[in-house]
Amino acid sequence: MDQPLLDVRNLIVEYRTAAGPFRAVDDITFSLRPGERFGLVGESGSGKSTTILALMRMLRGGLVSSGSIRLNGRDLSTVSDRDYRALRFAEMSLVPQGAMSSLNPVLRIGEQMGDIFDDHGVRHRPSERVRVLSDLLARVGLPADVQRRFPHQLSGGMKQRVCIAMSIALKPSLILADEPTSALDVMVQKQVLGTLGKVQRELGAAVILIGHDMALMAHFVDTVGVMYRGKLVEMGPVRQVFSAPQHAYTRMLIESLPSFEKLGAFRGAGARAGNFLLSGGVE
Amino acid sequence: MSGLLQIEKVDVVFNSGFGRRGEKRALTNLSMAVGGERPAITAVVGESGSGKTTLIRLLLGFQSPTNGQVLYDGRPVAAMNRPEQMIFRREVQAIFQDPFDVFNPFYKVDHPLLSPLKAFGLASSRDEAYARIEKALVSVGLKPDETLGRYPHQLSGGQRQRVMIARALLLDPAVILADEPVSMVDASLRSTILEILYGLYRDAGISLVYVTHDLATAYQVADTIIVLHGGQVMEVGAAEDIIHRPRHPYTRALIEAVPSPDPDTPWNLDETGAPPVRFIEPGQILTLDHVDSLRAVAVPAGTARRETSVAEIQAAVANARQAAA
Amino acid sequence: MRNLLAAIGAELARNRTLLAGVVLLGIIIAVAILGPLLIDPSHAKVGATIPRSPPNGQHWLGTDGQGRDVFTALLLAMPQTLKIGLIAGLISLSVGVALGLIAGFSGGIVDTVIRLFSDVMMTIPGIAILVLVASNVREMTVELMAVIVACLSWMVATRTIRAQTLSLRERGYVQIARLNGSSELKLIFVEVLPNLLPFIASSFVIAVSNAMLATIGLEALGLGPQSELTLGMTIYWAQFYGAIVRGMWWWWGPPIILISLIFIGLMLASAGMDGFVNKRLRSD
Repeated sequence: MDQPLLDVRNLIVEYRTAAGPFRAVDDITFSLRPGERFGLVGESGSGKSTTILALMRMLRGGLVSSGSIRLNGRDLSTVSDRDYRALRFAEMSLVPQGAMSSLNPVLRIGEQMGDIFDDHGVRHRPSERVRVLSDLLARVGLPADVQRRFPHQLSGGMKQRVCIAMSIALKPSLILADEPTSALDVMVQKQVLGTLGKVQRELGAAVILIGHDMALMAHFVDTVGVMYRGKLVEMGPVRQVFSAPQHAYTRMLIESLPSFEKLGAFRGAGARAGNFLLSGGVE
Repeated sequence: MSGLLQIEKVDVVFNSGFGRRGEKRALTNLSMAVGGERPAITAVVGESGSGKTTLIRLLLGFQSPTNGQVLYDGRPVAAMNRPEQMIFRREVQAIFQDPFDVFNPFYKVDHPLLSPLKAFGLASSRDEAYARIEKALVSVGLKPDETLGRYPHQLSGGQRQRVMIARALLLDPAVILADEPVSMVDASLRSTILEILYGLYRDAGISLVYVTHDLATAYQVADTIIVLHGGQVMEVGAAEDIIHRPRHPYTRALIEAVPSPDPDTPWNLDETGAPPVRFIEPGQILTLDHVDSLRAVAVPAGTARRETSVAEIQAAVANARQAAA
Repeated sequence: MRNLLAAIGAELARNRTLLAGVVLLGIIIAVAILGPLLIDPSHAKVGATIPRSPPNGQHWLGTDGQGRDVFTALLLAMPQTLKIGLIAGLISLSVGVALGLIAGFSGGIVDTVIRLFSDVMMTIPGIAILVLVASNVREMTVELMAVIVACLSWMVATRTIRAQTLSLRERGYVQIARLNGSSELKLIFVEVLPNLLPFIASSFVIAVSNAMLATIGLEALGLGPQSELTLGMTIYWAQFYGAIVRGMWWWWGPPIILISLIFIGLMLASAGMDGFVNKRLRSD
């Protein structure tokens, strides 16, 4: 049996509030094999982003109150903050949600990408640095001259691809992608997701994709986990979850997906007669 | 003619800077119509920069056209007198994308529900006003005692968006413009919100303009789909035809970009794909060519065999639907 | 309204800087109001006591070169200085809020004119105008001083309020209010103005402290109200009669300490409000 790349056990993350501790992540357990694509689905406030932040040790105000996280067999709770900085990008990297706000507007793309190497003590001669960055950009389908540009000169999709290039700069074994395409137009979304899939496969890294769109998950991940109110309510191979969802919330997520193949229940021939206005919705 | 909102041969050009270089065309030569005798749902599908936000602002009277005009019940909105303006204001309502930004954090949720009733004189007493409000809230699936008297931050995004639908309903509108009403609502609630919107049309005879970037939900609710790109219409037709028999390459590209909810339907995510195609050359003006009874596709200006407009296709789709029913 | 008070209370409980500033200013204002009632104002008249005596049991802060009791004089001077600050702050704030709202809401040519005018006013060195006016009026009074200072300081508030109005005007709830049939006036006063309150409060503190700073500077130059007692005039008289070279630290020291306390209070309040205002910006 393979050793898992990432092993999260009984993770609990709490936020202190005026009304007592609030459990944002409530006892979740999952593990990833090397190279696996894992999807974490849930709505806002379900704890999916908090889980990612806990993995990156980037929680603001939150506290991992119990549970363990092991990456490549190492217990991450024993890693000092200083070593954690070295670990980010090198072993585990993050593709953030808003590429627009995570790039520094006053630095050229090349400088920002170069910072990753500098911060991790990787030295290059200037000409070598340009070549390395050009190579990284080429892998995400961007021309080499992007490194001389400023973020505002790039489109949203290009910025998000720059973030992907940065996330693979130090060849991590795990990429965390927090809704990397939610702010993008549909066509660009497909390109960016395709790019993420391509670099992930070339690198052999595992990826955790956070999102709320089940349809995207259906085509990207191998395993999907569904989070609801801080709990991981369902987890399994993506086809199995789609064909036989176990939890009511998962079922609702899948059934409510709009499709070109069938019209919604409210439109089709079986639409309820009478005044729906009195029946109300579900919350 | 009641509640007919039309735009005729409208251009919207923004000037940022001096001379023609600073010009940005947000909409070009657009004519469409919603409301009137036959209520319908028209979806306007476009990506960012397609001009859909400008279209909403234009239809609401927040933005005046550079050329052409916006008409309500046959009267130009720009030339309305005060009573006509009040009717237009009340009967053409909107629901916006961001369910958080539309609530003034300073007031309880009652505020945006009470103030229109006062402004338009729709309730003679406070009790009557609250009776109307409660009815509207119930009709969008909210419990009045769990909604009224609260501050916006105490409600979820889905609840807030439903309060906004109730607000529009209170005014007994003829047309509701829904600007991406579900894109910031949690996935599990989207179909509920769409169902409520569809119900407004089916049960209350309200016409809707559903503006979205999402073809799949557009297909779920709309009779007619207008595909907008770079401020111009690429294709317009009956929803069924647009989705299953797209004619314009841009429409096809949009459809291919939507993932199927079935993991076994291939989506070709791994195709690095051809370099992005440009669907309009800069400065190019297009016209709509009437290709069949329910469809028009953009062609370069002057090359159409039979020129038509969005409004004409909308009317044809409505006729066909009535004939089928 | 109750909501507003509750929000302010909650903010004070969280925001230590703001709390410290408000408490300090509260004590100063209380002393300024109650102090003059508890003392005999005649001790502040020239020649009322033996001049030049250092602090003792009878004269807690000693007496000055003209025989005024320093403690009594300070208690009488403090409300005058605060009055100038408050009047000037209120005038410049009202002008600033009105112009800022008008500019931000109407846009176009009105906005351009107001913006240009305030930008031009900002480039004029205020102290030069003050010196010019002060040396040309027959008799300077506390009120006149406040008005002059206000005329030269309304631009800061105008700029802040205009910028905020411009951004609030585009908010969803303003559009919804438009759809709700609200008139332009209602949009301004019901939807936008309440959300400007934190900015108005912080502009007010800044306006008051700028006004007091300008007045005290002017007074120390001898251009203040000669016949009235203010903190700035006390410093002016002290240096006019050479209190420093004569070693009369009790004459020039206490007014400086008092002025410093007032400014520390204003600064704490302003810094605290800044955090509050910016936090609101972030969370919105």
